[in-house]
Amino acid sequence: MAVTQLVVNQQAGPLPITTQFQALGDGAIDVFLSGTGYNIQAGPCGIEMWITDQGGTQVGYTAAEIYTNEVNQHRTLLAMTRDLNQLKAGEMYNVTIQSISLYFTRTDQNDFFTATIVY
Amino acid sequence: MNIEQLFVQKINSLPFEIAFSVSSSSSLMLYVNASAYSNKANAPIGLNITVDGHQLGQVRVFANEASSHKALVPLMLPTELDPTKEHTMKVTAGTTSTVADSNDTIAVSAIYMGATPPFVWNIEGPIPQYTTFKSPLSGEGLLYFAGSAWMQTANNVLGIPVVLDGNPVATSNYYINPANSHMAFPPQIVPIQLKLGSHQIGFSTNRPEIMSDANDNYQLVVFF
Repeated sequence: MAVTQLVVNQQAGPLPITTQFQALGDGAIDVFLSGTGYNIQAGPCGIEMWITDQGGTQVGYTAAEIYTNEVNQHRTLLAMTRDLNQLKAGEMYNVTIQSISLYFTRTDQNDFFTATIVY
Repeated sequence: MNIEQLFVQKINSLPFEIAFSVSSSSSLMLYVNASAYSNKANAPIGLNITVDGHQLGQVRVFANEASSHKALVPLMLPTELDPTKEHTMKVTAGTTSTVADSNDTIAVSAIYMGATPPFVWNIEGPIPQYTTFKSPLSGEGLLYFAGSAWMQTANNVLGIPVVLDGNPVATSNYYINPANSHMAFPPQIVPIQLKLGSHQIGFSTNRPEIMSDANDNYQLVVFF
């Protein structure tokens, strides 16, 4: 059975959310990011998650997005699994979840976010 | 268990077709997440998912608004695929009101499972609803759940918990702006603690104003 780790568990916004986690295993891993957001202008609405090691090197990235026709309406984003670089068990990693800067996406206390690592 | 992202693509138009391959001969689930919109108000929208000519299922949601891109309720669809061959997924409109364009995306991952098959439960609303399953182990399992709901009042946070033996073990919270508008809630993949034997599991709601009906569909998967 896979080992799973909840890095962020239904944490309320607003973004950005920053946290750390200690890797539970080595090898190929996947990340699953789910949540909601809203736009101040119609268009793509999305959030992204960056994972870096203690030296600042990126080891993972994923995003959750949807096209929104409506302004100021919270929308469920398409959550997908994403393959990441291999982690090293026992090492600490930094996580940042933020709105995608190119989009007109905003988040507030009515948006909730979950990020799961699957080893 | 191992997970592999297969593709993320703009749908552009229906029908949509894409070739892909898998890297393992293990039994697998295809995790399918996508968006679409309706060409009329108050109509179900859905995408039929077919692989190599075999229909695996339909990801869908009820669209109260026309011309409004919506997240469909994502599903884990069981199948078996030969890793030595290329496969073709075909995505077609599941209802006459379903439309997808270049602003719609489909994302598919392969969940390669171990020897123990997962418990899969697919239902239509309304919730709360419960069922029983047998866990073959004591220890950590993995829970996936997704679905949709609505509220009669506007601008509220609602939560859909999964309840295991009477205790909420995970909740998907989300904010609904318009009243009487079905919306898929964010799917969740979370670890859960299991004990060997039979258990009751199901979907509930965390406030009485949360509504669901036969136009809402739900999936719950427990991986052992």
